[in-house]
Amino acid sequence: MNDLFHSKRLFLLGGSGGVGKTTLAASLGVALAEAGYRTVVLTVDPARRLASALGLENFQSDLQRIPVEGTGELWATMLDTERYFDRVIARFATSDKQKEKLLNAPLYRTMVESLGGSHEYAAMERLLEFFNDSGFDKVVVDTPPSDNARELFEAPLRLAQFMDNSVLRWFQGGANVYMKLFRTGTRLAMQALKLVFGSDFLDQLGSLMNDLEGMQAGFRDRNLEITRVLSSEQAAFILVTVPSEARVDDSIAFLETLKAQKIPLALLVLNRMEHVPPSAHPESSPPICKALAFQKALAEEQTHSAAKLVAKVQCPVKKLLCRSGEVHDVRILSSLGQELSAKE
Amino acid sequence: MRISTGRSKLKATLTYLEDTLRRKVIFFTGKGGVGKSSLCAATALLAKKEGKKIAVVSWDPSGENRPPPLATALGLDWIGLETLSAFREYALQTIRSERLYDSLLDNQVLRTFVRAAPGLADAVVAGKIWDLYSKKSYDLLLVDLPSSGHAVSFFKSPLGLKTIFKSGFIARDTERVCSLFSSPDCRLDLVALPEELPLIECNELKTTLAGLHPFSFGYLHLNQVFPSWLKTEPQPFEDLKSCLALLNQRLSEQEATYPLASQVGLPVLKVPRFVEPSPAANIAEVARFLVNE
Repeated sequence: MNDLFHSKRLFLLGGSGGVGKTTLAASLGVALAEAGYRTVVLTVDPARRLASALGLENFQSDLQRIPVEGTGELWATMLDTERYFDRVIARFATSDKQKEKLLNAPLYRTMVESLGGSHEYAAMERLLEFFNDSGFDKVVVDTPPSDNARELFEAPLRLAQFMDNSVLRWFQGGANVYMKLFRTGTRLAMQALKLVFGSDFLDQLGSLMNDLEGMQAGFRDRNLEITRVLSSEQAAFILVTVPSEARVDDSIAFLETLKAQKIPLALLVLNRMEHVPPSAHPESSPPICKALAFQKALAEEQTHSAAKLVAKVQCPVKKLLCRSGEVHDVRILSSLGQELSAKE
Repeated sequence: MRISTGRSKLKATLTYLEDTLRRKVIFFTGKGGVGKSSLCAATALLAKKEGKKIAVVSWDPSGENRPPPLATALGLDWIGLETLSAFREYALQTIRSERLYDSLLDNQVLRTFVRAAPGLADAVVAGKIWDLYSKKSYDLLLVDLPSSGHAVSFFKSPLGLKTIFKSGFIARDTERVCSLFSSPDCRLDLVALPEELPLIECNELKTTLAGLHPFSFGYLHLNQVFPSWLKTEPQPFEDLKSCLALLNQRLSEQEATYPLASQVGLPVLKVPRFVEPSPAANIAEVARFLVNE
């Protein structure tokens, strides 16, 4: 096994949707467990892909053990954002009363459901929990399918900002909100907002913000800790992509965000690489030649974008060839995991 | 000529092109990486050739607003929606003074609020689409939605907002947006790849969406379907054997998913996998394919 997988403890697999991230996360989990590590795989893809890949029919968000060969252990869990976010609120709440009030507020429900970032935030939170749990040697995280990395890293930050004092100051005070704003000289701004949003909403928001009072520090601290862990020596970010003209710009944008966030890229995985076909034989029939030309075109289409990406990174690059068939069982995951984690 | 009979009857008689030309707004949705943008661009190309004034509308919830390379390469009009500026336009309808808005509301607090408030980004973007639709500056808007998870929250937003915003501009626009979604002017197409799990998810997506609004569902674009001529005779030559066998197997696997595609309950367009030398050339091929469907 490549040293990277022995030396690091936390593996984040990122990339846009449909590149095989979930399958690779599960495969890496299986490979690590087979190498003797107690491993946990966290998937945040709301789809039940990992479950089916691991052969689990009724996959719950609770931690489940998956039987693997060898001395290690494999555990897997799926993130249920809504339930998990409730737990986050419960932890940061300063009193039971505050907790109850928040969890029952209709605005809070809508917020968790639709607020961009609650998914990402919950994922980062859960990651931190596993990371701080010494019961696991290795933590593998399948990040939410982000069309670009900004969403993944900035959404939790945005959420923390939302909880931040400056925003709260505007809305705190529930029904008294207008009074307060009158005093602070933003009465006009508030009136404008009232026209746009309607007063019911502002009242509800005011009281929600009021209910959240005292919890901001908790969110902020967690945010700092998440940033610290992600940029630490123990974390490895793995970018998964399928090279294609259409996707190459997204992948480059992803790389730039990582750089901006000072998160080093540990490995670039070029998944589902097309085989370069052998040349046709002189005896080959026209349909055979046509099929080979098709395969050749598929491979050539990838070459250019793969080269463009590889030129952008300093880290090792792993090319995984296209396989046939959906990954349905642990055996296939194991062989894929070994291919992924093998030394060059 | 306007035909006002039920949709099912139309489906049987209209081609893809005919149906497309009678719409004003077409939404494309599906999982990330399935080719929503390609189908959107190909359909735009098709309608443009018929003399329609079209625009490709896209929206990146993270606020990054890069023009889709495809739209640029194909010379299509592109409108990128951005939450903050959509909100500004929105608020200006009420406040009516740009100076007042910029001095009062253009600050970090409000920017954070607009981005983070529940469903607000979705709502202002949906409002903006309604606005474009009602202004009639374009004959047809082709909306390239963010990937499926987000599309659900996008279509859900006006419903959630109905309960939260009881008065004000958003409340009014919420009604309008809901009426657009259920209007026969508007069509919702799904895009998927011929793979088992994604198709199961696509089926679930359709069920979820159908529960939100009485949409006029259009087509299921089954994208990147391998041509059937890839099925070749078993090869005596060792070097060719494995390569062609893999292609054959991938084709058979795709074919095995067609019944799943039919289960979605929409007319299925099997869009072939083209291997032209450039993405723009591929789109042109897709457009040519769609004309004949």
